[in-house]
Amino acid sequence: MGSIVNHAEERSILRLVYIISIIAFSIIALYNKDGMAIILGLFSIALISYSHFIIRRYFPDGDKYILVLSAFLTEAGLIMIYRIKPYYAIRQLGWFTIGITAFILIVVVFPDIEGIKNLKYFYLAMAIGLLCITQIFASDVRGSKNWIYIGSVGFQPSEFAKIFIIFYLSSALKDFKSKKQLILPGLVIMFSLAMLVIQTDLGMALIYFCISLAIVYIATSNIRYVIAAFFLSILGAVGSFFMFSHVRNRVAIWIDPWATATAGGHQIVQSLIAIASGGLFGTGLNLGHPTYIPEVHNDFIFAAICEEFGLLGGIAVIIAYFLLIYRGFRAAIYASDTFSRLVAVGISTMIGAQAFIIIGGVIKLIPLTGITLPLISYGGSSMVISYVALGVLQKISETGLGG
Amino acid sequence: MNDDKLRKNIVKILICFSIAFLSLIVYLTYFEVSSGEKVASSVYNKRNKDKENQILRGSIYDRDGDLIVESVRNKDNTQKRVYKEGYEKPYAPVLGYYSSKYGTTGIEAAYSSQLLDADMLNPLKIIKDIATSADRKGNNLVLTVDSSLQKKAYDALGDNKGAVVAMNPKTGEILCMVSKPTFNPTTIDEDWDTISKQDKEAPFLNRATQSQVYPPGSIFKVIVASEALENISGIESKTFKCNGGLKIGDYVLHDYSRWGHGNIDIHEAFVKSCNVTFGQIGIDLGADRLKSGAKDFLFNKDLNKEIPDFLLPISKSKFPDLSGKGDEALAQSAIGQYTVSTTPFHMALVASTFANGGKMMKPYIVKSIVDSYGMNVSTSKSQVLTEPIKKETADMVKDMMVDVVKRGTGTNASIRGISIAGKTGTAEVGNDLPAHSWFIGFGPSDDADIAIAVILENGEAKGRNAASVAGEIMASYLKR
Repeated sequence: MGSIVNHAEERSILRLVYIISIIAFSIIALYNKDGMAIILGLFSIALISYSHFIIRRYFPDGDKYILVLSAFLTEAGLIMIYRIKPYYAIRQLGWFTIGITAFILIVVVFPDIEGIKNLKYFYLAMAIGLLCITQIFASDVRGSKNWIYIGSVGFQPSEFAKIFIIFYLSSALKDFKSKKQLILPGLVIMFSLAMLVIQTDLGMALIYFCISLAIVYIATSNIRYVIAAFFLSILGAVGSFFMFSHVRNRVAIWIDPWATATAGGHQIVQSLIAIASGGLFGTGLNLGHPTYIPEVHNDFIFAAICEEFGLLGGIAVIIAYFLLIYRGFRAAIYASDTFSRLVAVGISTMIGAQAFIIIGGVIKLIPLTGITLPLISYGGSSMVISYVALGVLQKISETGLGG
Repeated sequence: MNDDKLRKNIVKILICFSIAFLSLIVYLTYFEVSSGEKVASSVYNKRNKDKENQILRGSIYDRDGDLIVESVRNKDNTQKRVYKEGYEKPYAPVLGYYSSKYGTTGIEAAYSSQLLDADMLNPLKIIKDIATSADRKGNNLVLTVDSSLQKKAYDALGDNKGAVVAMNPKTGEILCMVSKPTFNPTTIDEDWDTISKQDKEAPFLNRATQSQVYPPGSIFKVIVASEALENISGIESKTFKCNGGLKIGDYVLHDYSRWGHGNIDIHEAFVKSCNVTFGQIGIDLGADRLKSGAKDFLFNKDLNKEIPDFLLPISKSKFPDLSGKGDEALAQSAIGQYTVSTTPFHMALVASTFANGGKMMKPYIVKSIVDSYGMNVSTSKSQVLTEPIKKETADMVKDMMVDVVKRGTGTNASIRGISIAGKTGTAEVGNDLPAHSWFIGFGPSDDADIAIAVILENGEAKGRNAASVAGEIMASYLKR
């Protein structure tokens, strides 16, 4: 009985997400005389409700809110991206379709997480392989050498590698007994971080670091490893500050973006101005000028949300992320085995750290490092990987004890 | 493995995340509250310029609802101000200019946020606007100014430098405000370099409200007479002796009548503008009472603070502190010289006080603000600004002012069939420059519809005095 009632609650939250999306896409359609917006909105809603139907129909025991919260964040992204540049939103909808399909396949078709817990060398090979081909084939996009192009479709191997890193670390540390077991994973982590720093993908390095820290801490239950890693990372940070000019640049821009408001600090200054122009309630959808921020559909989409939906809209998004990772950690707590637990911790940390690092950068709380805001920013690799990760999380919650 | 400990550790990580996310929220809120406004007004914010262009600036109408200026779109989607033909220069000192290059002045600047405010009151209309993709228009202003009087005053000033301010003494509505020389606001971008070099002519200066150097001269006697009537008992019947000069120590305050006016009372001295008598009255009143009298009429006060709704900048009128300065300074100040200074705008308020039984009404130039659909946003109301003198005093000075125009120094302002009250002034400016010619007055004297202040800079030389200019303007208004 209780389960049925809870499903009704889920559906009513989803209905709200649908209503908000329809209103938002209708507003955009009205302003721009563009019926396409409504079609795209309806399609995205159909996709979400179909996915929700499948998951609920066949696997009613999994976490009830992971899909709901992801759907909310994805719709928020689609709305903002469509409002910024409709063409990108259509592509994003494609990535979303692929992502949610992967999500369903992982939950419905894939074997249990238990069955894949011993493939650590496969994960290791994939992670290192992906990071290395980046180093060899990467093209320079917006100052960061972390894109690979196959034909006209670019993707970021480091996005895909991070899920393999999570699996590798979880697999390697699931039966932690002695310090020796930490040696290889430690080397792998340091190698990955070094590759990312060299590729000037600082934000991604930070995410890898957070993921590793969280998994090692949970696997070993030993705070001393965390403290040691912390000091090592400070050494590494200071070292890279002196070794790489792009790191020094980032820090200088963070300290005073206004000094280079038309050059290096341009993006962050425009981001701050956009957030400030939004005020408490925002200008209203379609009434601001988020496009004054270069690449706003990508890393800076949070500033666009703040401009048009105000401080309140920004806080709502932050809270939604927090709720999402709360559900992730909850799945970890109730997970049936250590491997699943570590994977759930790794994925939740990945999403939480990524959201924190880019939002913190956009509002100038921390130095800006260009990464995507998961589920919201435009970007295929990020979207697909996020849904793959969420699918794994859903799967773990499925087999967990909590339900 | 100890599952309980693991769970606790996971909760610890979750706590770290809650602190991190809370810090995002706190910092974002702190940023909005502490520096949001400053950051939003940054010069790097393109929105501010954009907003001005996005909304079609509201129109400005005169008191009869006739269009003075409106905005139209250029081909490149920017906008320009288009005036009704012939209204550009007469209205320039009041409305100011609106230039994307050189900024905004006058009413265009003071009411910019209103003119750009397209937040309409009726949400249905907003939807209609969006649906029909109509240009969003800012609010419109309806002025109290009478366009034909504005043009008349502009023409009447001729080639003189000077200013005219006329108002309705019963309501405080500004009927016209003119300053010359002036500029053409529609060609400001092209004319800028030439105009900004003309220091002497200062075409950008609104002489009606912003000239800081006009001594009032004899028109100041209306204030001195009021103070005398209210403070010196029996002054009405007192006889003064004028022999053409008032000797104060080594200094002699000369009267323009070389042989003097002989035995004279305050009424006749006012009618003939006798400097000797008013110099003596100034000495009799003393520094404190002169100053407090001037203060009652809002000298030494920031009129922009006294009248916060009047958004055009107004220079402060000044009356000096004369304590310990001696009789010479007292006598000179009492005839509006020494370091006394004022603006035509302020002197029109002073004139209106006598027309309105001692009550100075709060002046206003924007009658109402309406949105682009004609819905009223706000309306100005008539209010008493201050009551510097008693009604009896005002009426007695009014009687003197009537005789000034009937048979005294101000006969040039007289209008056939209508009783006009007034006071002339000839303000010495030193440096061998011709004196400024002043006139303040109102009419009809028993129930005034218009009060006026006119100044012609160095007007004495040009054979035309302020009284005749004022008479001409008032006649055109009263004889409709």
